[in-house]
Amino acid sequence: MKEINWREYIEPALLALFVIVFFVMGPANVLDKRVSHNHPFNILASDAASEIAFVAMLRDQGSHRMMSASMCGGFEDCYGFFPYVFRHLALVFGMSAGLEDHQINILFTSFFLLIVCIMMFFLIKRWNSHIAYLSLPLMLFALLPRFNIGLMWGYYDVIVSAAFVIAIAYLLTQEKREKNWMLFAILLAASFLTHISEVIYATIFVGLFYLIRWIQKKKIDRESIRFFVKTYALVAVLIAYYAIIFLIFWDASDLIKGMPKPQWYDPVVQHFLIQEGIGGKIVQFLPLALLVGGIIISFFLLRKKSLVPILFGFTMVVFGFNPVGISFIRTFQIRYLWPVYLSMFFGLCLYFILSFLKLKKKEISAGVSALLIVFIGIALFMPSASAGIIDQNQWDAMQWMRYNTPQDAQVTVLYGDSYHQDATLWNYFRTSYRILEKSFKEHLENNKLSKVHLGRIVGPGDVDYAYWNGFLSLGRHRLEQEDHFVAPRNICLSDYIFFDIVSRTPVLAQFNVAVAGKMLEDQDFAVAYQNQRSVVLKNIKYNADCIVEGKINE
Amino acid sequence: MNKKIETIIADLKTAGISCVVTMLIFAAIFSNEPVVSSIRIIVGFFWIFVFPGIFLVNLFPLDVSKGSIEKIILAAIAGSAVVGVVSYYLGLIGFHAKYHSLVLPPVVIAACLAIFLKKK
Repeated sequence: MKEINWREYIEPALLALFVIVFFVMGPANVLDKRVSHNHPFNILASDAASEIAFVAMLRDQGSHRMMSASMCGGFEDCYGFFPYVFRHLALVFGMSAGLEDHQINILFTSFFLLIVCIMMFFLIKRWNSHIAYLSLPLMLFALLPRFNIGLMWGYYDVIVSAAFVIAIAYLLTQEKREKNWMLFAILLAASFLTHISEVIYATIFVGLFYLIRWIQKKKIDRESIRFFVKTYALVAVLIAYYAIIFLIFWDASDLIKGMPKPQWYDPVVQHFLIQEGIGGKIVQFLPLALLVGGIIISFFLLRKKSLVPILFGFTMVVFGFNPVGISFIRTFQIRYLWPVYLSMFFGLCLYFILSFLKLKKKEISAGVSALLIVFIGIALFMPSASAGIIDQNQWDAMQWMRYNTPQDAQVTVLYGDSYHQDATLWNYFRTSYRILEKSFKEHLENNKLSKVHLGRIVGPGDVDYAYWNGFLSLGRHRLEQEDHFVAPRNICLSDYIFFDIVSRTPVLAQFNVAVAGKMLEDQDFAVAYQNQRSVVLKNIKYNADCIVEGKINE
Repeated sequence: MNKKIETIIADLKTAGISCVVTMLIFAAIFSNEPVVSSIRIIVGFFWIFVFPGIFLVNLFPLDVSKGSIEKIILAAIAGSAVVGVVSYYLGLIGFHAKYHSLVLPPVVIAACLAIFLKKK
């Protein structure tokens, strides 16, 4: 009978444990152990809402060559200007998995975050298995506040692009790396077309790697030069279409902006501290202490096999601080993945300690890692499921509008708690004017009810609604027709009015109801759809004076 | 060539086992999700990214053990890179994205097999 070598199963078992804890702390936690929610679940910011709309737009239109007119102020000639591979991947996966558009992104990105972690594990393992095993626990911090913000706030493309970059780093550890130039090129191109910043990090990192090797060898070998030329020539071909759009549509000026300061929601070094109350001060500072210890130790360990993982970690430490303030380094997006990028330093320090204690067996490293993974999974687990900023009622109202109103209908949006996160309103694909908070404030302060309100077109205005105006020449609708995009509007002439009747700020919901009441009084408008939270009014008479100027309380 | 086929079969076997294990873990943890849906989600992921990726990475001289999880993960990433870029450009030239999930995996696999045969 063949003897079973149980040691062969240590690594798969450790990875399986990691996957289990990852799912529990990550997507199952965020999504309340369910994928097929009836509304966008745990979407907490505009970017996340916009990604749902982009995937839905892709499913409808078939490509992102042109923007939907509803996302372009009604104009039909706006070109797609984002790198769109993430949305293609999400849609392709979603259709294969039988998911609705609003169910895809968080789950799909979680899968990629898991892949990022495991690929990083294998990258480190090319150097040292023990360190790789001991690096796994820190990677789970990517699922803790505030590192996990990417999943709920919509930084999906960053995570997917990071997977391509780590694979590029992994390929650098191969002996025949230059023969894999085509695979390098495909990964670089995919990274560029997903989220551009990562390809810049990858290029700088690969450049540094080769620079160090040339210094070590005291020569620049022709094979590496050929490798660079072939790889980047193929990359140039693969990204040409979007590169032209990016260079012309986006304003790439102002490269150096000074060291970035974190916003309240951005992760900083202190987020490696364990919260107080779990094991005292020593446990609280342990992850950070091990990280810093690992960084110091690694300075003495730069050799051939360790060069790639250590150099990668150093690069991400420097970029994560961005001391010079280079604007294309998206500093805080790198920090979201610091638990993964810097995990090798954590594992290195732990391995150093175990070696010092003469505990050098692989089983011991795997055992310590497993214990830490379970500890983190239990002690640091923080429930994070929530309905998000779009609840079921709001989503039902939006879907009603999407499928029951004319394509060219114009909608005026009154107050809703989450509607200042504009992209939530992209999801019903109608040209919309959102009445601005300062207009509500002015009306309330003056106890005034009127038909004219200051409104803004809802849409991705990053490039001012740009369109091709001739060969390599751009027009920008927002700059050419400012009044169309932000201006006082007579809401009596809107095809539909959309608003909430429930709010965390009751006076604003009451204002909505007062406005709607006037519109319904003389049957200028009729209720087209209503649920417990949201209402849609349809314009019947197009009476320009549907609201007579007066007081709110009359 | 036979060695290559053996390698691909070993990789597919590991991918199949990984798919089943992931399915079981996912279905157990996502307890509020119907089991059939959980199965479809995991199978969908492997169908779109991992299986095409296995054929793709075997085109390259990589120093990674056949049938290893390491190779499956690299295949998933490489597969998604190719599927993503090809889907992007197919969309631009007018081939509607809603068909890509059906068409792309067999096309990528067929293209890789064609390259194998040409090399032989």
